[in-house]
Amino acid sequence: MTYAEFVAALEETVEAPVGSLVATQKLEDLDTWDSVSMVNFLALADEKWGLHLAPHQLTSCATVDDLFQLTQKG
Amino acid sequence: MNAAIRAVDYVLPQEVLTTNDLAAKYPDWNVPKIDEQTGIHERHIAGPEECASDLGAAAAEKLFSSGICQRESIDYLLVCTQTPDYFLPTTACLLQDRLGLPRSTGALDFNLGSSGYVYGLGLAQGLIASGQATSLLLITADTYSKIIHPADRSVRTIFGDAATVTWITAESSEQPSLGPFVYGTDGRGGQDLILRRGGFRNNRSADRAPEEHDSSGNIRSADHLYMNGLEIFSFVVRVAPRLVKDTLAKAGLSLEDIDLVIFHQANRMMLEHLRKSLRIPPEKVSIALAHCGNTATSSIPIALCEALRENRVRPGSKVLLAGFGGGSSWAGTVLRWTQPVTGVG
Repeated sequence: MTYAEFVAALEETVEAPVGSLVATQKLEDLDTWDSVSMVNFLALADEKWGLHLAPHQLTSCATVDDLFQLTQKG
Repeated sequence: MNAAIRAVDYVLPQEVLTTNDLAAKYPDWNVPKIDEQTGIHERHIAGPEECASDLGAAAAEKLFSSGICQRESIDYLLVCTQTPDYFLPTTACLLQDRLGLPRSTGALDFNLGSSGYVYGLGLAQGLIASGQATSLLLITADTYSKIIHPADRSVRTIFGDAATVTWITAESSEQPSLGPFVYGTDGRGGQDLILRRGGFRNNRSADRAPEEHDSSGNIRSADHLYMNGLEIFSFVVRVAPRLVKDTLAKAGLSLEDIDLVIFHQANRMMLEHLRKSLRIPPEKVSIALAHCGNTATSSIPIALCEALRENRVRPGSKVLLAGFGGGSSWAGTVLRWTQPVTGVG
């Protein structure tokens, strides 16, 4: 998966406008990064990339890039 | 002898809490999104004086009044509830008296959430196969609304109150109608769906526990139900597909042999996720929660009842049941429907 593909999927999950998320974006500053979108992200990772992420891995991410790196570790 | 389900039915309390009601009361909740995500439009809420035994009695009386089951024939009563009227006596004992069941009836409660119905079927199969019972009622009943803080979006939007009744009798067929059964438990998940006070670890005192605001803006105290949705979702994603595969393997069946899959009706998004990850076609998965929400132990029998009404389950149908929830606890089985559908519901 490329970074662009990841960001496009994340933007859809958090209902952010296309092209609005940058790697340094802090997740805590995103209004739509809440418990519901975290669940959606877990589902996305499982469905799209076959990744079974643990909740603590997700909650330890601070930025969009942290999330991307998490999906790269597999 | 083997156990076979003869009838299944359910009742919902009268009071309805709609998504529009929640939107009007909590304008800062993103209710349309919640509605879309959960697939739940209405939850039924027990009245102030309405408890699990009241809902359970109403479900059983509905069955008796249909004329297909006589109360005098019942020799065992199983009640699955996590919100009993009392710690003691046993809800099943209260219901034996209230329903006018014979005094020779065996009666017990068991405490499980969304895996409880499959466990109940497993207990019924064991009681009947060992000759301890011949005509058994399995009642599921819960009133989670009584332990939900009104301002806790994470659970108030999801759960509804309900009760179901299933009549199970001994049959002499070679092949069991129920089973095999697959069970699983991981007590590490106990903290992810919990009522912290009210038992004897943390007794409920005259003082209310202090209210806390979580990072999502939900309000609750130790006197209220807490659900860690993220951990629960992660648990289900980890366990439920394996549960389905193990149940099929134990039954010597493949998904193609199954006519309908009934998962615990947690929420629409989770059901869709499981359906996709197991590559089950939409017509083979039951979704029956828009009118009642997540009813915990009652959710599988409600979905089964609706599937019977819609003629999606017919004599000869094979139905895979998969329950998973608080504990953490999970259970799966295959049900071979043998009865004519008339008289159900």
